[in-house]
Amino acid sequence: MLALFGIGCFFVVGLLVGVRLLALWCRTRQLPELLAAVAMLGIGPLGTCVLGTGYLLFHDTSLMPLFHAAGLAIQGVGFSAIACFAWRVFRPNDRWAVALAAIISLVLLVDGFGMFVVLTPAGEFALRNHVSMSLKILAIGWGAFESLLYWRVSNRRAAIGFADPLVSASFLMWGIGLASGTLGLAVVYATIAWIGPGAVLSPPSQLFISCFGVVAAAAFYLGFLPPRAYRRRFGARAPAAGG
Amino acid sequence: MANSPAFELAAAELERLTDLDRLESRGTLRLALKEVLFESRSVDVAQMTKIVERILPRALAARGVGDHDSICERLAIALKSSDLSSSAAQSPDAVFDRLIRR
Repeated sequence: MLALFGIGCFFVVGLLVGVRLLALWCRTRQLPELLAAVAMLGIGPLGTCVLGTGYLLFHDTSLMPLFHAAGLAIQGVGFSAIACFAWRVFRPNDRWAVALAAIISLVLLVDGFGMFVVLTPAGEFALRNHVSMSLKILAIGWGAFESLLYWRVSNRRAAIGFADPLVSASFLMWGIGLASGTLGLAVVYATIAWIGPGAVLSPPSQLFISCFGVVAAAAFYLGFLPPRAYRRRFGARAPAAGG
Repeated sequence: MANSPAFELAAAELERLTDLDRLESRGTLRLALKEVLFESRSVDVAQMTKIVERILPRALAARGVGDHDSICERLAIALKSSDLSSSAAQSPDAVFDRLIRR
């Protein structure tokens, strides 16, 4: 129940931010907007909804593995989108980044949709689950690393008037949100690997997951739906200077 | 590593408008970029324009280039009127600027 609070916060913010980014993509038709929207909606509300529906309404039925597979596949698409976002936005000219994003996406998509062909029982944690979880952690961790790395430079540029402080802060927020997600996912992975899937998480694990969920939700909210008071902290926006 | 289109345009224009040769004009621009933590391969047109307006005049004066203010003004106009908006729209700053805008 404790973990549900953090997941709930992330669910609500993911829905708000994801829908807004999707609406933005409808206007701009730019790939980064679409990738960010797919990431927020896939990992957050869509994936959670499908997984939750399976656990709540179809537990111990033959439909349960189907919902489990569908939820994880949708989340896999979201994690792939994060890896592609990291490549497209922060490393568009680096071949290794293209390769890394492609490998992560390909494996996660094959794994996600492969689950429909060979349904894994919800209580089983096979080798492919280890590979899938590791790649999800890699994808989100890479996204966090790139954003925080860029924020370090952007923050210094903002201090000398060569970047918009609010845009610079959004790199930090995206980085914190993803880093928090990375840690939360790592705790989930370690716990599942330790006690086995389907078992009830211990209260400390639930507390960790809840905290990471709340931090991620707060960071994404401030980063992508910055309230007026938060915007005011950064003063007037710098004139168009690419940030 | 390939330079950004904005850098290439600015370097070509600087070489054309001054007595600086290819190496000197590119080196001068690279030092100006470095001063404000940008790289020649990733700088976009808006960032380049701001650097040309705020950093380059001083850099050209230090190298004894006459009429540096006028040269920088013409460089900035060339950058602003260029058709490099598509590459500018994909820099991390431009992407996040779009993402947070309401």
